[in-house]
Amino acid sequence: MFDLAVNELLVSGMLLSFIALLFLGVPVVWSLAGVSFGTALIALGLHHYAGADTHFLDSWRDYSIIVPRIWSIVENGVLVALPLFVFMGLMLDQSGLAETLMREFAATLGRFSGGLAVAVILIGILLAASTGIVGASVVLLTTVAMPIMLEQGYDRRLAAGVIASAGTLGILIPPSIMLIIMADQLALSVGELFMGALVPGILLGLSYLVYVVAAVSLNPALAPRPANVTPLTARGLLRTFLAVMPPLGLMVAVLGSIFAGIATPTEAAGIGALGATLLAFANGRLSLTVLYEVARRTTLTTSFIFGIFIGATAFALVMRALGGDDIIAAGLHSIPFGSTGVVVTILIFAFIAGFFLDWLEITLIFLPLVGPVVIGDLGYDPIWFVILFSVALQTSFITPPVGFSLFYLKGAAPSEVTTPEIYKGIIPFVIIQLLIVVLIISRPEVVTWLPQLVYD
Amino acid sequence: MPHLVEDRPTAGHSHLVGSPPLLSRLIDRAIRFISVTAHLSWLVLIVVIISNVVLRYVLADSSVALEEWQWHLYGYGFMVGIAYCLVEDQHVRVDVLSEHWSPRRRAWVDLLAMFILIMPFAFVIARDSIPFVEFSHQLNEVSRSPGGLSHRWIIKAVIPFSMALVFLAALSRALLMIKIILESPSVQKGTPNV
Amino acid sequence: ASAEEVQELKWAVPISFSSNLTALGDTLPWVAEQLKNASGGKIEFEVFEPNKMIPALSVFESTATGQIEVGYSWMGYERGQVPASALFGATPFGLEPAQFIAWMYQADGNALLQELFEPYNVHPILCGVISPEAAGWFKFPIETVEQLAGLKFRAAGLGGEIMKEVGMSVTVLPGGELYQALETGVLDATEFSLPTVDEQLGFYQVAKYYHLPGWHQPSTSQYLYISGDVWDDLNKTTQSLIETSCMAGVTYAMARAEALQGAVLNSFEDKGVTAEQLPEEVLQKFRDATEVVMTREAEADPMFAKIYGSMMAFKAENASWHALGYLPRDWAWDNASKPE
Ligand code: NA
Ligand code: NA
Repeated sequence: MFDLAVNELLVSGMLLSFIALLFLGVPVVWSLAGVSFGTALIALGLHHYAGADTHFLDSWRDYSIIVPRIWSIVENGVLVALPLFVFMGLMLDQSGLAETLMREFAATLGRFSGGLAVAVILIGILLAASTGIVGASVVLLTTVAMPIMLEQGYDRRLAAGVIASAGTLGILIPPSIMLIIMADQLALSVGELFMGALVPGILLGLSYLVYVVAAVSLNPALAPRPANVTPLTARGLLRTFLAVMPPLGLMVAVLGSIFAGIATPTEAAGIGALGATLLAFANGRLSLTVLYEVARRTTLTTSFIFGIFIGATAFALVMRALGGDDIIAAGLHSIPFGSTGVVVTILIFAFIAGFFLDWLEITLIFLPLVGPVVIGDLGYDPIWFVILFSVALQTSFITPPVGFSLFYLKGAAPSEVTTPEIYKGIIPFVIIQLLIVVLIISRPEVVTWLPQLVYD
Repeated sequence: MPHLVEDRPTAGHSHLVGSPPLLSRLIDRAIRFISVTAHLSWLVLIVVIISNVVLRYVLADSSVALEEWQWHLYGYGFMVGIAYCLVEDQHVRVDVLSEHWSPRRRAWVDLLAMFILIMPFAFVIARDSIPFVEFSHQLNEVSRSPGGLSHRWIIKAVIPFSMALVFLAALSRALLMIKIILESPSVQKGTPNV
Repeated sequence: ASAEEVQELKWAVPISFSSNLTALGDTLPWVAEQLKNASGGKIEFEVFEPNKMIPALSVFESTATGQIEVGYSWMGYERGQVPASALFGATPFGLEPAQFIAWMYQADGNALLQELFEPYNVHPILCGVISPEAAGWFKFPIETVEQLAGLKFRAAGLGGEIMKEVGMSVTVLPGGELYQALETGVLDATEFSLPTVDEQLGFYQVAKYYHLPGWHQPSTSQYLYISGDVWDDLNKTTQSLIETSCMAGVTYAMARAEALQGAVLNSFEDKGVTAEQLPEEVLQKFRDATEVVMTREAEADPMFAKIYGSMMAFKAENASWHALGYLPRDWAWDNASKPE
């Protein structure tokens, strides 16, 4: 009886000490890595000196499995695009083009209340449909748009909320790495999942738009118009057009090369990085110093993201070796409600887990456990369930304390934007996501209509 | 210059000390020097990818070796960069509570984090990854893909290399924290956050 | 000597293919169930899905370095470390499933397998053989040899080497980019697995020409990798129970793979997929290139030469029986059951 509780205690202890360390201000990556190490040490001590049953964590070599796990992160080329999009974003910024773009957007769209926020959401949807790499989207939007929004006097919470949520759309709107991994986990067709995600994804983006427009019209102080609004002239429009052309051209080249089948997302990211460099050159802003600075800051942004991956892989290994999966599964099987109750409980669980774990861990730990129950035993439509689950999981990016989009944002934003402001700013967007979850439950055709249209 | 990802001490205490201890400075300088290769890896990566695209569309050819260079460069870049992030104090924190703390208290938290959380982890992973690299070296491991790269152990060695750098970076930062704790009088309490 | 009791074992067993993949990934969970039942619950294999504990491609490495006691994988992922291992996973123009188990169980196959892995302190046990894979999903039909030049194809392993040899543009895109690359046309074609698995993953949605046969993979074999020390510590009863269960696993996988392909293949027509064999001349071209590549591999590695030699000698000896003993393969085609 006592033995049974040891690994359960250790698993709960892991989660609690991780959260405690986070709030002590210890960087995320070292909280994850350190907790995994400390827990392993305690578990092995209990196993060897007190004979405790620590599930599969019974020797030091079990912990060393972290090494091949780190290796598989290095070897997995799917994320090569990430540093390249970071590079592109930083270079666009250095070239002055991003600034001009946003300034002109500010001059044209900025005359409308919330115009910049609307622009950010639209660009967010475009990025989502091309790269799907949340880290890169959030960093790009933050470096490009945040300074200008702040300069124009935007409410910092609104600016942070819009950028973090718009930058996260990429995980749902296809192509999506998350859906690819889920398809792999449950042996489903990627194409059907992509089609299923399209309508909810765009609906989500549009809901953000509606919210921003509504919020700003109720409280114009959230997004003040620029002080010197000049009348909209043909010349002004032309200037905006000219400012928009180069970065827009780059965006079209990047997205177009993916859609036209010339390049994979990785290659398109490489083309984007080169294109941004050429634009900087054409703008007379490229020097060796600038090139080096952009590369150096690419290292900083990329490595802090991958550092978290490594911490997370160490954390997940220890949790699984301790039987964390079984503990979750046992909990699921004891849910007393009917089939809808099980689905809702799973979603609530995914949502709450999303406060502390990232989507990848939840997908790998949780989905293989609940998928067969919901799809096989209860007979729900697999595409519907996976998309529902994905929208619930998408919130994990933007819910504190462990929200990757919030980290990316915080990492790339001017230091005047504080963590509490980011946390407050994101709340309305989390609520919108939950409303979409409710919509999908009550109207499944939001998901199922398009895949049926295309593939049946 | 427009705003970029800042090099900003998130824990906000470097302005308190004239200069870090000598050993810290040496370690930091060495890691910054090594990290230049990580920065350059992104530039090479762009060149390699463009070559790949050109090869396929202009010359209707492909090179698996060139494709593999992509993740070699990126793996090297981000693994080495982890220690660099530590040196530049760029790792993301949840500073909800710590924002209101004195630099001295934050230095204590950082010091303990270095000694308890980072250094043992980095040490153990560095140590345990050496047999992993040796195994690859003994077997003369090459790519499993047609026409892929050989000498796999070299890129695998980036794991112990990176973790050793992280260990050193943590040591350097721990020494700095000790200096801050010893030198900063409690008067500094309430210094506004940067 | 008195009969030894079955030992109590509780092992975490990582696998390389998701157990949701029909016939490809569901064999080991079945074997685990049989072991549990046959041992009266004493032998417990807790199956760990790919990447949950160790990465999908690291089963051999992790067993050899002692990080895990046991794992289950397609043999060939370790081709970069043990080149000859690829022959035990799938040999281009090699042995069909029945021939393969004949060579393994009744000829030199298993002895050579143990010889190959002995230096790494790993004891592999054949534990699943499946029907031929398909040649791949193509955006357009392959009708002539000329179309192969520059054809953008995603393939790994020995098959990939041979495709390179015939002038195809072989890439190794990460699995996650595969579907999209095929959809947008970055790739002209890709190989994947059996019709059942291909259907599950929906490749028919983005490429409408399904070519067979899987010349590069006439049979596909998976193995239980057990650390040598761990294996030696087991008593005879336990060893025998594991070996027998794996042999049953081979039968289970062969039956399951063979049973399910027909129905799925027949359903492709409704999905707008044209399924047909590669033209004779194209297959011949691959066959010629296979000679070149296999000779090159054999020159580079004596174990490869030895194993491939044994396999081909067996194939040659068996050839007369294979040709005369069975109805001609096109027999059914000239009669009632030909499709269309
Ligand atoms: Na996307
Ligand atoms: Na979260």
